Amino acid sequence: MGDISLLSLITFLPLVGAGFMVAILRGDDEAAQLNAKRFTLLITTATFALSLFLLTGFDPENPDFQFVEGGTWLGGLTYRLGVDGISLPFVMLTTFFFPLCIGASWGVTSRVKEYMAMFLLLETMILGVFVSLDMILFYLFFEGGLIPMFLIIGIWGGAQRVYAAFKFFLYTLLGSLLMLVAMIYMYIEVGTTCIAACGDAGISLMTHAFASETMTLLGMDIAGGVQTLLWLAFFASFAVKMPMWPVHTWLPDAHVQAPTAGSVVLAAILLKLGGYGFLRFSLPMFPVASEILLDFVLILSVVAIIYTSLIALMQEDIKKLIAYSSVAHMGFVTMGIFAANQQGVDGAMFQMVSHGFISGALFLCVGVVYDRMHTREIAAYGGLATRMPIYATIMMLFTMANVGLPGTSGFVGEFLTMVGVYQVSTWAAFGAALGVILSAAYALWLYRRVVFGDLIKESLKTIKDMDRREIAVITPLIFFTLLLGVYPSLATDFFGPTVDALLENVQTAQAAFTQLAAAAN
Amino acid sequence: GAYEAAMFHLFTHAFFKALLFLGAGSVIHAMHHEQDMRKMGGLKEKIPLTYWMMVIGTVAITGVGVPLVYFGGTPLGFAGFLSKDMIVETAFAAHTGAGMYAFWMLIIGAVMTSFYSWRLIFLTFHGQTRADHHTFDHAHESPNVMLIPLVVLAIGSFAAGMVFYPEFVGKIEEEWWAGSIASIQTVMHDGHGISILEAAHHVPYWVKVSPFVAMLLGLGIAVSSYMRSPVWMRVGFGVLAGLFLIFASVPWYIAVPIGVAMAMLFLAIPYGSHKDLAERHQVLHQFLLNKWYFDEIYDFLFVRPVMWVGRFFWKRGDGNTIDGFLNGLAMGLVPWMTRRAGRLQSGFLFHYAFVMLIGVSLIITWFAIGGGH
Repeated sequence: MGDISLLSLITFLPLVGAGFMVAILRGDDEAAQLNAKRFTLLITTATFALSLFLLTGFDPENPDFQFVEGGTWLGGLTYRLGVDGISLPFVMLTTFFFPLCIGASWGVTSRVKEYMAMFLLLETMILGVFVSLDMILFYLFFEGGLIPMFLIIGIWGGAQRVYAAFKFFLYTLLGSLLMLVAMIYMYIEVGTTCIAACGDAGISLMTHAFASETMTLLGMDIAGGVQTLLWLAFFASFAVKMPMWPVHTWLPDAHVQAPTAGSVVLAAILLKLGGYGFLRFSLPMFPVASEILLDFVLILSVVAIIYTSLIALMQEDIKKLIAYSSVAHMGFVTMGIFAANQQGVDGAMFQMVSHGFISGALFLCVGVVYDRMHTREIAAYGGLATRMPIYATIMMLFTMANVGLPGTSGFVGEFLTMVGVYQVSTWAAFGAALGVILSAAYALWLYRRVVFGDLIKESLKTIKDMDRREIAVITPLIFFTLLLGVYPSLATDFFGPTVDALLENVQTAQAAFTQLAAAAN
Repeated sequence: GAYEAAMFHLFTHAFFKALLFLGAGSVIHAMHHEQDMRKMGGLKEKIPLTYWMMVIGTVAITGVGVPLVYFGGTPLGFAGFLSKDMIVETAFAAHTGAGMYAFWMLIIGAVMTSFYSWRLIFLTFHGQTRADHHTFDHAHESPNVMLIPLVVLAIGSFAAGMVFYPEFVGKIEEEWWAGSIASIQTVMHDGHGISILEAAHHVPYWVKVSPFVAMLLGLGIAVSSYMRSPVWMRVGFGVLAGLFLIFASVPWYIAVPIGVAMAMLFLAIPYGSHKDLAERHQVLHQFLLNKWYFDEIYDFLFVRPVMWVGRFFWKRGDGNTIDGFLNGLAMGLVPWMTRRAGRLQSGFLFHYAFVMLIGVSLIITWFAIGGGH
């Protein structure tokens, strides 16, 4: 197993599959469509199967990067891949979700081959982000993923798909351009773009300490100096991706207009790119700036949670409601990450994984009724439990998980995060708890209006319950939501050691800075 | 802090409350989803098993039992009698201001509980029916799957109090709880401190009988108002109350007047008087009927403002401000600048030559003024 570059194989298999499919598959008739769907399902399942080798071969106790491969590529740029306890859960989440997304896309009828090709390309890009150990490679994949997503929303989306696609693309790109500038600066200063596990070179971005003394720029005193500026540049990109308030407005439009599987990928995986970025770059490389700007992040996070939860309460479109609820949940993640303690970061990691399952499932549930009624208006539904008992049960489970009911994974993530945040700021934890109450309000109200009550609308009287394919696609998510809910250490034991090692470095750097600052005063 | 008594009441309450709820469900099922008692009546012969189960539940909740009689340390009575009386006694035994307040409130509560519980039975099952004929004719007993749980719960409502009394609050309560509940309250008795449960056993007899008398008071009023009850029944309840008070060593010159007063009260309340009362006190009636308008107040104070804020954030915050700014930039400012800049591409060669000339002259001016380097 050691000779095969497993990570490269896993990352590029979808791309190769897409190329093969586009080149070989001819025609747009039903047979060709079915072939495209089956082939894509095969490729994504194969990718998942390969990633299981990663899972079994990974040693959670070892906080370093594993399965490292690569070498010099272009001048100072390296092609280096590797996974650690933080990136592997996301790799698994991605490879796990894509077959489900393809399964959920079985009803697509226009340009199926291209649709499937886009999803495969997207999978490669996303996996590339999580496994790359080179900064520019990271950027390449990070931005590259925008293209297939843009096309998925813009071509196969809803009525306002073009507006939503452009909004998504330009918004995310703008933030990332600042990140590129920062990356160039970092390359010039450090001399390498390699993030970690750089082999013989020894120097890596992770181990480099960027200057953190106060500096003056354009007449302003910037505490934390270079680190703060770099942190802000990276923040611009990851905050949009996360998304954080106030740069979150692309999300409701993108989610609502995207096709069902597109929304699922967006919510379950793409949002995690932001959190991953914070954990891979902002926290370890700019620890001092992270501490200085902690209050800033906390304020934005709490506002995100409460503000978007209040908006979610008033939504009339089911998908938009769930989209705003996603923003609120990501608020927990950012709070947890920058609390920079064990519970906070573990909670944030757990919340990201759990939210992937839960919101992915919720969007699948919305897709189920949308496929039947072609409307997302809450007012068009009511009393579905009478005719769709299986759907009602499954939707209830994920509604409860979204609220954070103990026994589901949603609770663990939120609770751990709050414990971590409470240690650095009581008011922020208080705000987060308020958000939990609001999430119960909007989630249960949505559920009541859509599923409970009397079935009086004529249009709903012939609605059918979930078929076997839909149940099959959502069952793995049910399994994991409940499993992680009752046995969360399966996950926390997995990324725990890596997070501990990360925090050790971060806290050392932060402590050293505090000492220096105290000595200076 | 008589936590053991509280847990005991929670325990017995489960039986009779569940019984009452499920029984109500059985009635509603029989009446084809009619829930309004004002449209019921006369169901006793139609759904007899449900009726008797509801009566058992009512008897349990109102606290019917034999006061002052103990069988091996355990009182005799339905489940509610044992647990309620324990709480009433411990409230009195605390000998604190709060305890006495609680005691009297409990007694008043017991009167009301008895009144409304029996009112429910009389309105639903007794007298002439007020239901529409079709529904009443079709009223039938529920299927066994609904009735058997009622029987099980009725057994519990009868026996659960007596069977578990020793464990919860009786002779073996200390070993049974084994310190899992903190019993911190101590009361002075004969010079040394004893637990509140112990103290409850030493309260005066009239205290032990008071919940039973309260129950009779409520029952009497309900019987008088809602049932065409014979005179002997109304007088009888008053007499019974008086007798028990005497049995509780209350002096005759207090017990007899109380009994007589109760009997007279019952006789004075005509059948159907509740309708007149409601009409004469409309405001109070509406206030109580609408649950003190709590829901409406909460809606006004909390629900509507929160929803207003949510809508505000959505339309004005996200919509007008954030998106407005960004859309204004991307779909407003940028195209405007593009159009302006586009005018430079006029297509005329002499325009381009003129611009080049201006550029050259500016550069020369710049260097001429700036001097050489």
